[in-house]
Amino acid sequence: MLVRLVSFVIVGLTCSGLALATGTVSLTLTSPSAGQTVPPGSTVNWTIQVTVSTGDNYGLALIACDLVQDLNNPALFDIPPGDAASIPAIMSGFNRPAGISNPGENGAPSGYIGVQRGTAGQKNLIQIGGGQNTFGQAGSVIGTDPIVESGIGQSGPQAILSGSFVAPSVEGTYTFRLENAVANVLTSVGTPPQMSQVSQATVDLSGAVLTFTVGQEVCIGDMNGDGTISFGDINAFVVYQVNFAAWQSTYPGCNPKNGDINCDDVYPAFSDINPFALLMQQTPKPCPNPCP
Amino acid sequence: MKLRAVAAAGLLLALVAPTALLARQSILFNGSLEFGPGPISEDPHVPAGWVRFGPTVERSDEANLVPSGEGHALKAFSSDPQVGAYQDVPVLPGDYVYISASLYTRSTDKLSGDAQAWIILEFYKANNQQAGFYPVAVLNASSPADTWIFASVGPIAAPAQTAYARMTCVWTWNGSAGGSAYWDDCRLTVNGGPNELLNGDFETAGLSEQSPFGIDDWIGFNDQEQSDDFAKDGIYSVKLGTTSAYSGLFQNMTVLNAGDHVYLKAWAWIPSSDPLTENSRAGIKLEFSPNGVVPPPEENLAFNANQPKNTWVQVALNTTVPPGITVARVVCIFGGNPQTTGEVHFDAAWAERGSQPGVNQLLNASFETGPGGANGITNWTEFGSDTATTRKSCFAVPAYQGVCTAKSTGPSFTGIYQEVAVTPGETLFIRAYLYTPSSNPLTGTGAAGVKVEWRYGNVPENIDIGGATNTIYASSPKNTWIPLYIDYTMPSGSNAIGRFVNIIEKGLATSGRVYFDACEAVILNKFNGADADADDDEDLLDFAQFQRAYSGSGGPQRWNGIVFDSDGDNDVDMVDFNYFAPRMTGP
Repeated sequence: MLVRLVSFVIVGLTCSGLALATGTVSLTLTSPSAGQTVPPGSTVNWTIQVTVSTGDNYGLALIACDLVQDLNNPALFDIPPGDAASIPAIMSGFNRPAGISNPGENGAPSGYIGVQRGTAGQKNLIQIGGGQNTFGQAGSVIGTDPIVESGIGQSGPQAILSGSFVAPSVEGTYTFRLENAVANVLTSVGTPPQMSQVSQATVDLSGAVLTFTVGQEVCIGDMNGDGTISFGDINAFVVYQVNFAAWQSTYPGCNPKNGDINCDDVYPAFSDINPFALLMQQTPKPCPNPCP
Repeated sequence: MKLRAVAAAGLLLALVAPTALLARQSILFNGSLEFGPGPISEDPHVPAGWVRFGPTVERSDEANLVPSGEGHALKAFSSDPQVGAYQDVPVLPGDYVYISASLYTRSTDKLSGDAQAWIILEFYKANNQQAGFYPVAVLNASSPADTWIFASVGPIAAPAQTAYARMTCVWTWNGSAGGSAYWDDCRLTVNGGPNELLNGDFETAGLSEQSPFGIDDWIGFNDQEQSDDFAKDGIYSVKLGTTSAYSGLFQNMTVLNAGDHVYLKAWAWIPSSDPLTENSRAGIKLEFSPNGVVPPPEENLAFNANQPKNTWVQVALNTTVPPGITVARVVCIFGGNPQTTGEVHFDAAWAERGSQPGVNQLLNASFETGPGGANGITNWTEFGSDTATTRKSCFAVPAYQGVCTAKSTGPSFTGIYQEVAVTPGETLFIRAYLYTPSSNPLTGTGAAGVKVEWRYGNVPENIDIGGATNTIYASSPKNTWIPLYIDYTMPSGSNAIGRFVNIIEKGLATSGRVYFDACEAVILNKFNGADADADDDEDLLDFAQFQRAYSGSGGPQRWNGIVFDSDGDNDVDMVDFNYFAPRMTGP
């Protein structure tokens, strides 16, 4: 708190009274699963981060955004709220009771982690985030902390919230994105009881899209789906080449891409035979074995 | 000086602001006029690639030739003698040029009178001198409705010296006409090649210099555009000019019900560099429209130049009151045009409800009472123009009843009307006696008769400019933001859609501009809390606006602050926050 107060006073001394132009707030939706193929039932983790432009404002004052699933996704589900424990300490001033956020639901103390809205079975996560008390006085119920934290989001991406959900059982490509984002930024920072000024920021959502594929993992050369590349794959590879339908019925959980040994996206193809022979010389080899 | 102006404005607002009411809902979007593509933006009513002539031609989604395009055609309808659009294509002398299109008229707005719809192939030399003209009239009043009719011209060899060919779609009339025509799948080919026209299916919208859709959530009309010349809030305002009788910007808001206390506010700026002049004025209006679709009017214009002179002729209309309608506007109407001369007299008007047989619902039905002159017949309202009038006339012709009549004359529509209460489903019989004297008989194609227009009786009268708090004039201060407001409570039994209008009335002025910005419209007694985005909740998005509108105790109140000013003291401060915070419902 002391460090925070000192930094606040410094900013207050240097910035109070200035009126700056509106800044730009960039939101990203990141995940280790982004661009990957994940098996059904696995956990997909996500994180929302914010970056605030510098030189035209003094940092984030409020952020709100929705995490929504594309209606064309192969399967829809209720996105669970984010993990309250993931809220960084520096963002506590945006979360009730210190800050201002929506009321919590289903026992959660705050709606900062998003509230579920929409048709049952395909609910999205609405109005993730919150705002600082910029009024210079403590609120009686929420917004109890009138000390403004400046510079948030201006020294690199600042995590807002993280969460996770279970990858659906239906295979295919899934897309999630942030929508309806609103952000205010500080245009002056006042010392309580002086208020701080805010302005609506331009929000950039170009990096707020998460796409991943649910399906069997690609393991080039694993033709019998046992999780390893070995001589046991030779017979299966022969069936794959001469009777693809029979191979599919024999190894239903095995990704057909596994036979695209030369990774030219053409399969089954005789052009994969020689590369397969070369691959067999390197066995045994564990999965995963993605294309280079 | 600036501080004094601010202080004065604050004092004024303190004097005029509504009394404290705790519950507020904002019903206006983009009131600061910041968002939108700006003046030169896409206008869905403008067909890209085509040159339009006449005021009543537009890209329309009311008709479409399937499968050409996705849902638009070119529409032209009654106004000037010729309205339409054309497109030029370079050709060489001797090239064989062929044009084709499909044309359509709707049964609900069918071509009538001498209206015709054409396609025309023309050839022009490089000096724009016409070298060939090949018109084909495709539709007229006798054409079948709701049917696309194909038409073509050519192939025709381009004459010597031809530089370009022109395909024109045109609606014409020579005196008395109505209805609309549509063109779709227009084609112009050269020597049997591909279609050379751009946007022949009218699916692509074009740009307009002052797009009515340049500011999000608002619709502009006539001389208006988003401007960064001046701004009360943000960096944009709307700039209105005087190239038309009226120009402005409006937004349809929400349904307003009886008892709703509505407060509209905006700030206006008159630049000293181009101020309001003469009797021009500007301001904000609150208009109302029915919360439902009004049925079309019905009329019987049977009285024309063929009627006997010096004889009273009854013209009648028998109808049934449509569902939901509680007011009928009974009209004695004269439809003059430039080819019309003479006068028509009305007398002994009658409107009889099926629920009250034998009772005339009209007051002053034989026009005996009233001072005369403009709008001078008691209980009746006159409409028309400076040259087309309907006025009290006594002893000029032998009246059908009493000694006075209502005399109509002029080159355009005029008449008088009176509203009567009706009940949905009952019959309504309307009649009047009409007369034209041999000394000044009705001639030409003009006609007269009776008409009924339907109204939802629960729609209040508009709050027009001219009031003390919502209007500025040529004498108003220059180069300062002037607060304007309307404080209105919906009357008992009312139910209507409210419309916020920023408007400039040209009057006799030939120049002058007005800027409007920081518009707000709030229902002061609706919603338990502060709903700034009219979605019936109080959530984080409302707080985002609260945070921006926060002024601290003593103000001055910022744009969008009214909805949060729970104690009505013209600021947004901690009192308002402590009212707001416990009422957050979430989305």
